[in-house]
Amino acid sequence: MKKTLVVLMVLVLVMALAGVGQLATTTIEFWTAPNPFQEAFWSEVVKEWNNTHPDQQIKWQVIPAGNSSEEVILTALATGTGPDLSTNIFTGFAAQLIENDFLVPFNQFEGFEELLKARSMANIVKNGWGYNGNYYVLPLYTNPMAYWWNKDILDELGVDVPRTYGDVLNLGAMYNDPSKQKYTLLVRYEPAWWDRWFDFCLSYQANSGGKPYWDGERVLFNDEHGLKYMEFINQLFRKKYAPLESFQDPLQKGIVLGSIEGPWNITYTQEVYPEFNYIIGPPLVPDDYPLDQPVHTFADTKGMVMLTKNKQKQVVAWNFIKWYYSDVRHDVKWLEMTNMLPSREDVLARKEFAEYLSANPQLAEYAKLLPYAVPPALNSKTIELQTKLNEVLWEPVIYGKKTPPKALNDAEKELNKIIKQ
Amino acid sequence: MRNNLVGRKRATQKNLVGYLFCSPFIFFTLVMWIYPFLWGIIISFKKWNLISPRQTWVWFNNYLGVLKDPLLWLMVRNSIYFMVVFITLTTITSLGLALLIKQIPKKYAGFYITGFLLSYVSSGVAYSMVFNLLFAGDGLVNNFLKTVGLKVDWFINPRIAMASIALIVCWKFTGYYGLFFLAGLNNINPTLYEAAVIDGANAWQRFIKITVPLLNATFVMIIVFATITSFNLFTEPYMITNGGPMNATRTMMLEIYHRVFALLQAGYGSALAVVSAIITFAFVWGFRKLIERDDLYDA
Repeated sequence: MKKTLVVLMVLVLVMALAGVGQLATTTIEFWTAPNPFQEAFWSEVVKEWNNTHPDQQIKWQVIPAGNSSEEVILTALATGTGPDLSTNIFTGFAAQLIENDFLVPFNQFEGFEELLKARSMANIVKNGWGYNGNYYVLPLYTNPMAYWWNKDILDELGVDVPRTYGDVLNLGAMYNDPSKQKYTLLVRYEPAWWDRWFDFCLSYQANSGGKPYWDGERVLFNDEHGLKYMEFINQLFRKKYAPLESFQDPLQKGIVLGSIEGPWNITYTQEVYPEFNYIIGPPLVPDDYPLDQPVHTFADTKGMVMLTKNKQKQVVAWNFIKWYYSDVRHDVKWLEMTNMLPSREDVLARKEFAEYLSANPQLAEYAKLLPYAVPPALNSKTIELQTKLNEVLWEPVIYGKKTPPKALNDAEKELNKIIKQ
Repeated sequence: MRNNLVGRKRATQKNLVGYLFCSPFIFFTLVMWIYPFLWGIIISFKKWNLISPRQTWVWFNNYLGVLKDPLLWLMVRNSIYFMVVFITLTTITSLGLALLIKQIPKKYAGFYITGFLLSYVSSGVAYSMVFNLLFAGDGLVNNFLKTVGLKVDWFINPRIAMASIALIVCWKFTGYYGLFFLAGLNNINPTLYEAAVIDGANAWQRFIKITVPLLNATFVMIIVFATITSFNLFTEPYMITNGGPMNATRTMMLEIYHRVFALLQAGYGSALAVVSAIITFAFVWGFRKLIERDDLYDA
């Protein structure tokens, strides 16, 4: 009996101690983008953190599969299964989460300003990531978008890399032949809302010198800049210079001469199409765009947000953020593993990055566009706006159902209705 | 008196056992069907963004919005287009399949039926991706068609995109509906055919005068199932066309999902779900009235 009692007491003691141990450890849920390169990166980084911070653990996973990360995160939040910390958040989605009181402002934490300086991102954050005087997102990477052109075919034709819409139309007249699957420019016609970032939004920013296409009050794109681009798109499709059918990797296979691409495609192209020879150029501009003016482009830029309202978890999340963002080694590793440019003002200046960029000339071309890369226009209704934009502007022009001026007028009217709702 | 009481007690005990056996189903129905159904109806009268605790009663505003939206009628038109193509194609293919399998000795029939059922149990996401590649501009199907001088813009041409989706869904359901037709064919008394042969009826006459009328119940069931499938279409357009081009493949289910989970308009989405259920019910009821016959060969 005595023995049994002793064993029981020891067991209770062990369990209690284990419980105390458990209580002392705070674990947070961390979600990252569903991308194999980023997955490999975060796996290593989180492992390093967990090994060096036994009392502040991170339970990491990629954002579960779905149509878009935004939809998955919203569904998770609606069902109470969302993360405490997440990456892959763009400004418009962050605004939507802020309006529903899901995000925690980072500027309330001690050391926020120092962290911005340490990572050399104070200007980036202050000029494009603020919302109502607070800062809820810390940018992780900035991918300027650029055109890729098939160098071999351009050389064969004896033409330079097209700079303007007129150059592309001339090239089309010279090269295009749909019956032989030879097209000039790839323009995405799919109705996914995010696709409009990489065509209409990007081109409006390029034509207008980096102006936003809308703000929180109204639509701004119904002007000469928007019209010039849509007239160009209209001509491309009427002349069949852009394919209205789906192909897998049409640029790399030589079906189209040019296409807008992100730096994430560099590694894929190197691995799958090692023979493919291409030149990277800035976005196309109208014929009257001054030669001496820089060309702006769209920045596919995502950041990290904190969603937990639990104070203890907030401390862990903030400690992790400080640890991650203040160490330049993490950004170097990020660059090496994902081939995406970290959102820092010193990417072109620091030798840690210079070494990698000189060894990767294609990515260096993207890095040159960083000073002119503009993030998405801030509006909490981005998804709804871009869905409507596709419905009333993009598809009607591509399928020849509306003239560009009418489509732009309709789009302005319909989108303003959504903004004012 | 006492006998009466004992009898009632026994009856109650018997009922209890019955309820006990039914309870898993009743529980499942209450939790998984009645509760979400009622909750959906309540939400349809509210303005709620799904993630905020704030919910405002807007009563019939969501319904008015749904009925005023030109997209609703476009989606109904898309569903009817899909339904016409899908029911026509699937009826022909599944009945044809059943007639073919009927000719095979019974011991081998199971093998073929199982083979054709594989498409029905395949993952919608997986086969949608495969068909998307097959029907691409440089996909296997177009490469084959090119050899005979043809090219089809399967999912790009707004006029045929929905028909292309119907083709895929037809591939999925042919084996499944074929099974129903086979069961229906097996239920037809063979003496009817023997009598018809003696009377000099040819194969076509036997098919039209005996097989088709006696398969009426199967036709009704398949048309009801196919109508529901048409109005509930989601996975294939979601994976392949995302409702495009020019909203040609936008279905009510796709719009409900988009409204609720992308635009966070749970109230509007629920109202659309209710309207969609009413429209589906109306079509099913109409079809049954139109084709269901209880008095075939009564005399």
